[in-house]
Amino acid sequence: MARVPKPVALALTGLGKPRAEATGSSARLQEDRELVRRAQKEDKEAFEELIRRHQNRVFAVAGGILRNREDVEDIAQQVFLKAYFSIKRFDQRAAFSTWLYKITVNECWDLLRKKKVRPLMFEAELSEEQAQVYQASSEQSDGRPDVGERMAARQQVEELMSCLEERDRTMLVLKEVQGFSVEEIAGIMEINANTVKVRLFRARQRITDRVRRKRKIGS
Amino acid sequence: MGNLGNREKENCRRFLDALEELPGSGEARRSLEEWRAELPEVEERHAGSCETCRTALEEFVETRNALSEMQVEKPGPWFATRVMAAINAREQEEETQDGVWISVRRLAPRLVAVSALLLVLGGSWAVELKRSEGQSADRRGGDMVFDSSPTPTWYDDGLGTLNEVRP
Repeated sequence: MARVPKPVALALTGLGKPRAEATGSSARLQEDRELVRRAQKEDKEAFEELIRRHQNRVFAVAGGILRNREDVEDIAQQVFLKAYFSIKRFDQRAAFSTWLYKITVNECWDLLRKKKVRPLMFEAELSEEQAQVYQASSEQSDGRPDVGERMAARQQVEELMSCLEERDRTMLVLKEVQGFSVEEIAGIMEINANTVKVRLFRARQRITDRVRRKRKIGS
Repeated sequence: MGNLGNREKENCRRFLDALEELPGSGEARRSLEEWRAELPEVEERHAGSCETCRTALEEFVETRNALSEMQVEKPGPWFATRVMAAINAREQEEETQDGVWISVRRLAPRLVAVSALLLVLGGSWAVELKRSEGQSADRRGGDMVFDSSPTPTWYDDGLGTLNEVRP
């Protein structure tokens, strides 16, 4: 494992300024709070509205950890079911979104443990959906970017990510793909913000090493 | 010298914090220079003078560009409706189970009374059985131990009968 240079390590473990937790604007947070209060009184319309507001991100987070589209849908549904049946116990000390994404991450990890496979393992064979996309792309001739190339690029990303541990991969997806802040990630994963920074730093080092090695092999 | 070292560490720490605060670029790939230009002026200058932080910036850019191709899953148009249907189905299932339990709870006092009666009756019968077995065992044992049927006088050669001895 690459050693973290001392000045950087010391800088990373320095105390940062805490930031107020916020996912989106404070008005959006306030709306979420109101919807949660109504959902806690068994207002189903309020809960459905919460689903519509957060479904994209739940899908994106689950999709970053799991590979299979069917698994992502199943997990996303499970997450909202769990949220509905335990919303009365949610005390709103954290933002609803943080609580929801915490459930999402935990459900994904539980599934992976049950399946006992390393996530994002590179598979030689395409799923049926991917094969259909390739088929469609070979038939198109309107000058759009080659879908096949994009598919290959995405598979490369998945192969790169397979070198990371579950937790590091989750953190990287939350940070780099979903745009969560370090503090939000710390809240979702229930760890120290400085630990998040150090792990992100190391994860990026590993990804970069792998990218450079692939380039060398390619050239 | 100590102060200079501390100041350097502080500059590195601020630089790394600034890196983490850079917004996402969506799916677009960007060059190192483009990302560097996004940093605050002080941190941007620091990247020019600190090799370690410049390396950190390069790794940041490589990772961002590598992940820009990551497929972001999106829900279908009926996802929320499906979830609400699943919630309703589960609530109905729980109500049915609750219904069974409610019937059990209603019958519970009667069940308790019947069980108690059966226990009492069963217990009494068992005690009676044991007692009667005990008595018959006693009777058989006493006969054997204390059976005092008189031996005939003509049988005992050595001793005379009481009638003969006593006048």
